[in-house]
Amino acid sequence: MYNVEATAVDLLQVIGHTTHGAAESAAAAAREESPEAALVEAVRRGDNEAFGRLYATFGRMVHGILLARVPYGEVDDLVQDVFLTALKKIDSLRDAAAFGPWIAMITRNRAMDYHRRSRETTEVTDEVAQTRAEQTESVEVLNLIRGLPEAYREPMILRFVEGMTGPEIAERTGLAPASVRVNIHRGMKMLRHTLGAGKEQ
Amino acid sequence: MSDYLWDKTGEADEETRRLEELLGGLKFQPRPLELPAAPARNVNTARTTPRSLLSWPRLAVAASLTAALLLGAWLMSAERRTTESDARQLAGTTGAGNGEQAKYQPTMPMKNDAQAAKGGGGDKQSPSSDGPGQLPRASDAAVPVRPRRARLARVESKPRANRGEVAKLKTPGATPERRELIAREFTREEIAAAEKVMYALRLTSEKLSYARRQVQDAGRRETNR
Repeated sequence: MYNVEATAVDLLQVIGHTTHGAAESAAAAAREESPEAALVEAVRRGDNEAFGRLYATFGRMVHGILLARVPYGEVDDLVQDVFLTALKKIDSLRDAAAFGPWIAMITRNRAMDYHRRSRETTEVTDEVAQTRAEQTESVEVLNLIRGLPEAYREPMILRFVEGMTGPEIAERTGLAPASVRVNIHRGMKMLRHTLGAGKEQ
Repeated sequence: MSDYLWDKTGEADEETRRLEELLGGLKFQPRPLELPAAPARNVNTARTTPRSLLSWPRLAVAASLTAALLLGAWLMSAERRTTESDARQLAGTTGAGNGEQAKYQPTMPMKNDAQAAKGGGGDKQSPSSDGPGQLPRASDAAVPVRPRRARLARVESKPRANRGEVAKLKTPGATPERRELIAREFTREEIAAAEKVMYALRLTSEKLSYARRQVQDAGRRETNR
């Protein structure tokens, strides 16, 4: 979606025959033709397969946002919760092309809700304990990223854990590409500093 | 300018590669999504009948409005019935002639009955004796009270008066135009007679109320003794 929008706007500006309103209408047209909008409309008509495609497209983003906020062992169940909530509320989504930012907001709200409801004592199951043993180093680094300022956590995890590119993160979450880029670079700088300090100790 | 950290183009430094490999093990592993049986049907139902429309406060407001409308309609119809009844009564009285009134026996003994019988009660109210527009004296107001059923039967037998005109007749501040309109339907004598009868009825009503109060007071005094 982002690429189509950007290309349309850039092209019109280069030609020099465009006004601001024309650029906006081109962007709006690009949004209307986005595959997400078509999938959302199909889901509204009762197409479960379309919802499966939305899950495949946005699952990584939801997983990454949750990973930046809740314990690793809880993330998978919460991903399911978030998508079921989205399915229930999909009728309230006004702009079908804005499914990404919309589900990102649902995910952040669900993470806050998790912290509100969860008790201080957490039962550690055998499975979680085993996972932690196998992925000790990964989880340690993940915890370091989760210790970064909030603005850097999400793009850093989406970039390094989920393997998404910067433009992809901006497009899916609805954040400004420039902000995502700055946050990734600053977050990386802080993480390097933290890792270097850890090695020295 | 290539920026591997941003869009994975160009050369990547060693530390970035190492972080990608290390953290890549925690990435999203899609699980089959457990969807409810018929999500679309639920969505459509929610769209056609929003819950907010069925909330109790809204229903209460709607019920209040309906009740107010019904009450207003009932009051209007009651007012119309009263006007019609007055019109019939007035039309019956004006067309009856005074001789008929004397046929009915009073149901309650009146203070002025003797005078009324002596002077021929009904004759004193005739327009010919007092002239149009003159109000009767208090002693002339001893109109015999007829049983309601007999009175209604008599009213039914009379032709209907013009409802609107008779209603205007009762209006205290009737304009000359209105009086002219009324005059088309009734003669001046008839109108004057109707006014006299209404005045006499009011007087009688007041007298009856006064008598009732007197009787009640006397009863109380007896009880106190």
